[in-house]
Amino acid sequence: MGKGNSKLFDWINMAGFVWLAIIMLLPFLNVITLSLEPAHIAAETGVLHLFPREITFEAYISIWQYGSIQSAFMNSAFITVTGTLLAVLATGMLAYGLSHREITGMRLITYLALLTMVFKTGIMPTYMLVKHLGLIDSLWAVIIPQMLTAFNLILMKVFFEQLPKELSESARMDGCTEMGTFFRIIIPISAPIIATISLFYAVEYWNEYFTAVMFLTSVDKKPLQVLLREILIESVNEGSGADSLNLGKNMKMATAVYAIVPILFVYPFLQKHFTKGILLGAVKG
Amino acid sequence: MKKKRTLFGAIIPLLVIPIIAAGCGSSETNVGQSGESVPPAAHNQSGTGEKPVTENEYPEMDMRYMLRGTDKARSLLDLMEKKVKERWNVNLEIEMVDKNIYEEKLNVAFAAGNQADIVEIGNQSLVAEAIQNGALIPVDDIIQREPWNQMPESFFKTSSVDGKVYGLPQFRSLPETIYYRVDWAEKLNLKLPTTPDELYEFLYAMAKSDPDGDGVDNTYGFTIRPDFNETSAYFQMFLPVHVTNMGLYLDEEEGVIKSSYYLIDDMKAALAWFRRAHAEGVLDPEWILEVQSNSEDKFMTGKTGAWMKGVQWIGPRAAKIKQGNPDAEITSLPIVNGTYGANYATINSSTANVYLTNTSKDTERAKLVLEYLLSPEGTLDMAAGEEGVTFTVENGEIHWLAEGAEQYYNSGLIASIPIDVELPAPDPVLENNMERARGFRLVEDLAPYVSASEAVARRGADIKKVMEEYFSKIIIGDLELDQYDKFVEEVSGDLDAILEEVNAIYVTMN
Repeated sequence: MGKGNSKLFDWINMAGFVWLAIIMLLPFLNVITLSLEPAHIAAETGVLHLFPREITFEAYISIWQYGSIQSAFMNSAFITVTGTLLAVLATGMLAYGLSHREITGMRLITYLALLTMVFKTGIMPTYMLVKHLGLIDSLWAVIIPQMLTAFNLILMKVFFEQLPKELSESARMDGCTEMGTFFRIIIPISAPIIATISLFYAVEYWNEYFTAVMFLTSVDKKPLQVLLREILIESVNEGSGADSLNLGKNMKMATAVYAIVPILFVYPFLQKHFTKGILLGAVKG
Repeated sequence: MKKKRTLFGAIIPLLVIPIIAAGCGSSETNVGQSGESVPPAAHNQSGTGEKPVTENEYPEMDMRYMLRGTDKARSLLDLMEKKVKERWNVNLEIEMVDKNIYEEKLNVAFAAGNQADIVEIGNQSLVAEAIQNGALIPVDDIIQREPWNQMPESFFKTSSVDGKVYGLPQFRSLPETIYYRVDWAEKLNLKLPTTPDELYEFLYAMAKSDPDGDGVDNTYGFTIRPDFNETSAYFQMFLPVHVTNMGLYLDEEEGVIKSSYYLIDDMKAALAWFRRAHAEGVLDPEWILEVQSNSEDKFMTGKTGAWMKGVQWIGPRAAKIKQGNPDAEITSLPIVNGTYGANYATINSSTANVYLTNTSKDTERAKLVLEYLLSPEGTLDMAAGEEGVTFTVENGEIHWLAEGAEQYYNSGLIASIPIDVELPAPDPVLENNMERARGFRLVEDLAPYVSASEAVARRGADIKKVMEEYFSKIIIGDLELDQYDKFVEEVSGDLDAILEEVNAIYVTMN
């Protein structure tokens, strides 16, 4: 291929990706614009709202004034932070164990884990289990059942399998126990996969809605997503309070911004590791 | 290294603070808050006619009330929980569940034996199943007392099995009405319509006479949705009931359930009315893609001159439309008399019932709590609280004392209570709107028979789909009006089977 052709290809490529980026950014821009516009402007149909004609924060303020939004934020933060830490720990420990082929029953446990990818238990058995564990109306009911997912386990297992065996062997020769090897040797060199899995779990926990609705009963235990969904319903529900109906579309969009922005801030910090981690797991797996 | 330590130092508090804070968010805090926000005036009041008692007369017990709904003002819930605690020494927990997931949660809770003591159930099949399994407790003794004994018997029909009543009604059904732009009608000197033709002319003027005065032909008379929800007031100008739910209605003279799909001439007249509106640009051509929020937005922003909604929900809309246009005013059109009488009609029934489950350790006390929750006092407490406690009324206007309560207040909810109660403050917009609907028709509620029909469960959705397709195509002109006969031919097999079964159930149950 000539140099000219290659340049042309680059330009076409770039134009294509810019086009794709615009397509993906427009809905975001639309959501942010609508959330910042006064209700009567946001309600206008047949117009593309990409730049606010007037700016008001009434929708954001109205949502923030919901009685339980602060506690919902704290609950979501607790679920996300605690859940992610514990989930990464549990997944990492199991994956490390399963990456040692010499362990008896390793295959069986791997297959059992894989089985959960194919056959999902319905809500009923999970509910019964949570109930019998006495976790109904506890934030732990949202954290514990999601602490280990087979997909993340496989990713981590594959990553650990690629690490040179000599590392753990030399650690053992230096007197390290398996736990010591795991925490002192393996974890520090596994930043890419830990960042990747953390991101997966964090997004999952942050967005958790169904289990929270099913297992939590107290108003003060509702996580953010449940509350935001309620606010969203309020804005179209005929029996809702005056405020939510008065606002309408801008309030809906503001709830979307509230829901995505906090977790969005995590991405830039993890992106470098995230890409690397995914490639490691995928290419050599 | 120093940078890493700094980062680590920043992360640790981020991890720890939410954990500590979430750990502190127990319900005890709220009880404390409620204690501060509710003055002693609320003490020892009973809306149920029961003699007030002190906490000492009852041993303490927990109780849960689960209902469809969204977050309410904490101060209002605190007030209710405090009253229940003071009167019956019950620690009441009110759980509001997203309506889209409510039934699933209820089902799972019942199956796991973890149902709340008091629950709202909208699904008739679940009610029947729960009663059969002994999971619900009859409340016949409650309905002997006021105000329940003042209600029509039909309000208890959906919650009755074998002569026993199991549920108390939460809301009554009110008709959908056609809201319109009063300022536009006045500007165009329009006479309020009383017949289908007059309504057409009225909407035509809204579309064609530049009611917004911007010199551009950019308005429409009205819009509808392709699922034909919120179109009842138009269809009922020609038909006994709305076309959704297979057009089933009770022919009271013959005592037989029929389908309005078989009233071929009337149905064609209705479709011809819509078809003309579409062809002449009275009906917004985008209606075929309409969703609920869009149709509301179009009315709110002056794209359409009329829109349909429940008569009681006008208040927030009247306020909302003024935000964009302070001169805009809305209310409902008066009743249009059609072939079968008033075009505003609704079922003669309650729309949501609340039941007592067998979970409660003290059934009698649970009944007292249930009675309070659904009494005028309890309903008002949930909607607005108590005068002097959560709000005051000055010069006919509500001033909120409870923080955030105004955010949730909707007088339409109080108007929906099955018992007539006075609003906390006069609401001329709502009252005027309710007046416009005066004289609406009440039709028999067929839900108990329809929900018990397996044929409906099997074939109802298919009929609905075919109906939507044919009706849409006829209205937009893709099919000739005579193609309605083909629609009838197509659905008659399933429809006949449904009518046969539903009528058999009707006979058995009556």
